[in-house]
Amino acid sequence: MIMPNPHPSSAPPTKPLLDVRGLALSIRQENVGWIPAVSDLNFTIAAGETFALVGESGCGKSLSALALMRLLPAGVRIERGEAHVLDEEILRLSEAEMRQRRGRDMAMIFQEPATSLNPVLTIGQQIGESLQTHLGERGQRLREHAAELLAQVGINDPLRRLSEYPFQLSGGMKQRVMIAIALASSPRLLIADEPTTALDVTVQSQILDLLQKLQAERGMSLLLITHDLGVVARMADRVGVMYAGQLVECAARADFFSAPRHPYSRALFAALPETARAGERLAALPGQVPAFSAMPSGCRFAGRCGSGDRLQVADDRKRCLEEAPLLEERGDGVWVRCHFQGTGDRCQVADNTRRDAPQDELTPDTCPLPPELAVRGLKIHFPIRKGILQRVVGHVRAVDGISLALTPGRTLALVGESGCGKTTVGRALMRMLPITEGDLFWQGQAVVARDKAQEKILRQSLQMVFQDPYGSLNPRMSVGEILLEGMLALGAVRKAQEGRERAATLLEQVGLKPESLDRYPHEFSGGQRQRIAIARALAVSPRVIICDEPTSALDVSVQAQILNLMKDLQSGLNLAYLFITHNFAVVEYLAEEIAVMYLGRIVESGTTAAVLTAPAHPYTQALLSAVPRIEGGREIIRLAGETPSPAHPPVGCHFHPRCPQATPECRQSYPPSTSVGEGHRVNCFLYQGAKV
Amino acid sequence: MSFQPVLLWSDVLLWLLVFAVIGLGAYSGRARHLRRSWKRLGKSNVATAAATLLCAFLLVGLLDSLHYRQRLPDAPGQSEAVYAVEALSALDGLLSHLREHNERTYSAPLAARAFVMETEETTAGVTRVYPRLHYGGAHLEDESGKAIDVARRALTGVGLALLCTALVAGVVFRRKPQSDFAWRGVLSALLVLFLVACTLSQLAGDYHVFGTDKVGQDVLYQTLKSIRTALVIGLVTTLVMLPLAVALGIVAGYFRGWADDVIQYLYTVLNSIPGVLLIAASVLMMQVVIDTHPQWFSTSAERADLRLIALCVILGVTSWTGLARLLRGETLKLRELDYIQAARAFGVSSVRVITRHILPNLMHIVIISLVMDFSALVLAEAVLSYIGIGVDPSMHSFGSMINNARMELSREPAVWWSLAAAFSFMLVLVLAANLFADAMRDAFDPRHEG
Repeated sequence: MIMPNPHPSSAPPTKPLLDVRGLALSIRQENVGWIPAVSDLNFTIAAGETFALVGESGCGKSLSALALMRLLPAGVRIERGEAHVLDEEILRLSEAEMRQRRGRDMAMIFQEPATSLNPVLTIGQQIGESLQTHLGERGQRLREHAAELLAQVGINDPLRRLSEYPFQLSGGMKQRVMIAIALASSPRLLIADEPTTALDVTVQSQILDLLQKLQAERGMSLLLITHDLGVVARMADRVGVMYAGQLVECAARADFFSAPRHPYSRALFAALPETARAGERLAALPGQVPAFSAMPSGCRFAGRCGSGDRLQVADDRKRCLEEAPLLEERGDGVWVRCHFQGTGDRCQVADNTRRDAPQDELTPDTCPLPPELAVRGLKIHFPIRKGILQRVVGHVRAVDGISLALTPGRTLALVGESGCGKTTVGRALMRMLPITEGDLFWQGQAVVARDKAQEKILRQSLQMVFQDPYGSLNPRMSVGEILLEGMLALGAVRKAQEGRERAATLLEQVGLKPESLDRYPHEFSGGQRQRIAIARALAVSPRVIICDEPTSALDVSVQAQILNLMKDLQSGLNLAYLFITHNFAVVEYLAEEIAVMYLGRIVESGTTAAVLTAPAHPYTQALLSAVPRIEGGREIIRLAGETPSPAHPPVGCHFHPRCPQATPECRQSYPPSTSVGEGHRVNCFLYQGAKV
Repeated sequence: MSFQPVLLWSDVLLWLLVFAVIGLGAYSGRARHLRRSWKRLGKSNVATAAATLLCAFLLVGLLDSLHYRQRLPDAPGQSEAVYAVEALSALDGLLSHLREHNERTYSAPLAARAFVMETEETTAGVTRVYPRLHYGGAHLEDESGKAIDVARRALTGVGLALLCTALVAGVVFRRKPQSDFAWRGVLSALLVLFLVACTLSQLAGDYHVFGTDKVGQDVLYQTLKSIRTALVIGLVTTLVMLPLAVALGIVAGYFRGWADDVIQYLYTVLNSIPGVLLIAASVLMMQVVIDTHPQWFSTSAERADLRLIALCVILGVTSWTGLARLLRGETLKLRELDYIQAARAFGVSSVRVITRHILPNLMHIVIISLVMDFSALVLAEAVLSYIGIGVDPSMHSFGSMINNARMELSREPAVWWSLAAAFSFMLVLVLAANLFADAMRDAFDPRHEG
């Protein structure tokens, strides 16, 4: 068995804390039996080190972590392999022995803080449980220790929090509590499975800081599982890339980010929207990760590998398809599982991933077209009712006076953290929610409520693509029926046969085979489903498409495919997009204009280039700095606390309680809109005097 | 014509239901997601065995739902045909010997002599003896040969059953042995069915296999007649309940607002009235109506039938709340899903959204709860008849059999066979329905799909 060397050759060899050798897992599938999932997994983690396991969904990262905790679900079993923690083989321990090791030697935190805490127990009880089992503490001593732990994870007023229930805490606080529980018994190794994926960027940044601080204080090792290369760049000492159940590359962070060796690692980088220049196509990997039940016998990546010209040589191609490569060292502690790559030709990254030449870029300033859809002073308030008579006692100001304009062929990105009201804006424009106040203009004409003819035009011209490709298609309808529904409802086609032809054309347009018409959604992968959802929106020839986080549920490589598709469609059909997202990298790639929302209001708007290179509002600055970047090296502006509730927004500027540059003036009134450049406007008192 | 067909309301409904189920089956064979579920169901041995048993019960019930009146022999000088007042069913026709071979009173299963002593005058004077039965074992010259005779007939029955099963198995495996349909379940259920049916048919000709009741009627006959009552109660009630539950549940969940308030209020009120009390009150009122309008009915069967239908309606009206609540909750969840939002963005009408998007995604719940409710309703009938507010006394049902057997249990020695026969038939019916419902839930639950 070949082992990646855990240390750079210069460092003195010490015993690793965790040493995984040849771990193999298999999954039981109905009517098939046990099929191999993870195979031949080798890695080590030294004391105090952070090792990041990276990969797309379904590649076996989480299963491997659960196997180390011996918490595998039914239907998955450990086939072979050893895992040594401090020289003790843990995969053969009995359950009773293992229970002592969990918590003491290793602890785990999960992705979703909302479901990892028991809602009917107080925070104190949940932390106390762990302290009691592992340290045998009771009574006052236990309470003090629990409060101490809460203070360590940065929770204010810990004694009061101990008697609170999970529903009283925000998402970030819950994740802090989870970390406190994991730390209760001072583990040597902390396994963090996507610890910040469910959190907003500013909160993510707080949690990552906390993990780094705690790790430094306690000399703890960290196994970080993530799909986000930005998080890896910020946290990891060494990186392991998993693909289809195998480790395909293992290297120190610096080596990995300066020169990824495996074609898959390179493709991952190339698929990131931030690595591409605007206007250029993303290098999307074709296809998807093979299923465990249909694993190729040769190199598992061979089917999607576009690496250089190697595969055009018949002999080499045959070798990739037939002979499974081994994980071998390619100098300096870099281990790669590939027959050809990683022998030093580092410059290839740029060559073989950028496939298309840059397209002609639209100059953002010269845009004579009038807006397709405009909205002025949009307000959406939800009444809060209380008592038997359901009297209105207040309003949640989900959207509180925003103005937008969507122009054909251009994309406006609406950016903000969860709860800022960006999704509400999208739904209100689709008229799925009643608009409390504000004017809607369609091609310059004011939209009148209850005008039947106008209503129909709007329904046809405005369509939406949703976030979750699994929830947005009816599982009981075939693809053909799904595409036809809108056409028939709006009278775009009269007969089903005519519609079927159009539906087949649409499927080709979004890159699917026309034969898919009679198949059902469950037969498609997430990316393909999102293509179907886009085809459904296109079916009625809309002018404006509202995209509500259409790629956030997808893997990086699939996200790149969808973004490319959206860009092609936009230039081909001259569509206007309203792109609702929290992901700045996508914005940078796709949008010409950007509007940043905070608590129901737009705090800054302007061209993408202007806002991203010179953010004016302190919130935008903090938001941008909190995004983990693979280049790294940026000063992070740390925001205190989390977004307040839109039912009780702070008086004055909504952002002032968290703003590092707040002045007394900010507490008095909401700042008016100020121009800080061509088309670049910001609502902040800092710029009021300095008119540009 | 030697008979005149009689259409009872419950017959019509039962046959309609059967055709509706066949139609639904054909429809779901085309809908792909349902076909996958049916296929999964077909792979389970328990499900196919239970389905086979249910089919056997259904066959008996359907035979019992073809009613006719026999033509009476012409009286001299009569020009028009005259038909008997009594409406018989096809099952009655097949089992005429069971129906007509009435003893004077109780007799034990397979007995040749009565259960109670009677005074008999002979040349030797008046004696108290157990008299020979009129029909049970009457063919025997010598009663001591009864055990051998019974054993011989039983063995013949077993032999026949094995032969039939082997025949069916041969045909099945000749034609398509490679499909993954669970034939083993069907065959084992058939074996049991054939064993019971052949043995019974061999014995029933000359014996009362399950004995006779107080008025000397054959208990086997009563049990077989009870099957139809149970099926009608179980199936027709769902026919009443289903539209109410589905319509109100979806309307409440989809439209929210005041519709939701009204419907919730309605079922909360209905649920807080003790069910048995409500049913008892309705049944008594209905009985008064029936008793005061004798002119509505030309035969007693029609009167009993109306009472049965009314009972179904009452049970249906009181039992839709559970399913409606379930469907309301599920609709609340579904209406927020993106694909419903997308449909609304196209301006698809509410009716279309409900029929195209919501209803198909609720079907698995409907199917599962229907099969589960079936067994609950069969049991409910037994309980209601037991407390005397069930079906018409002239109609056979498991409940009335158990009710009648109640007093007989206190005799010494006890008359146990009525109760035992009703109990075991009902147990098999309900157990088969429950096992089938379980298997259906596993097959249709979307969480098991993958």
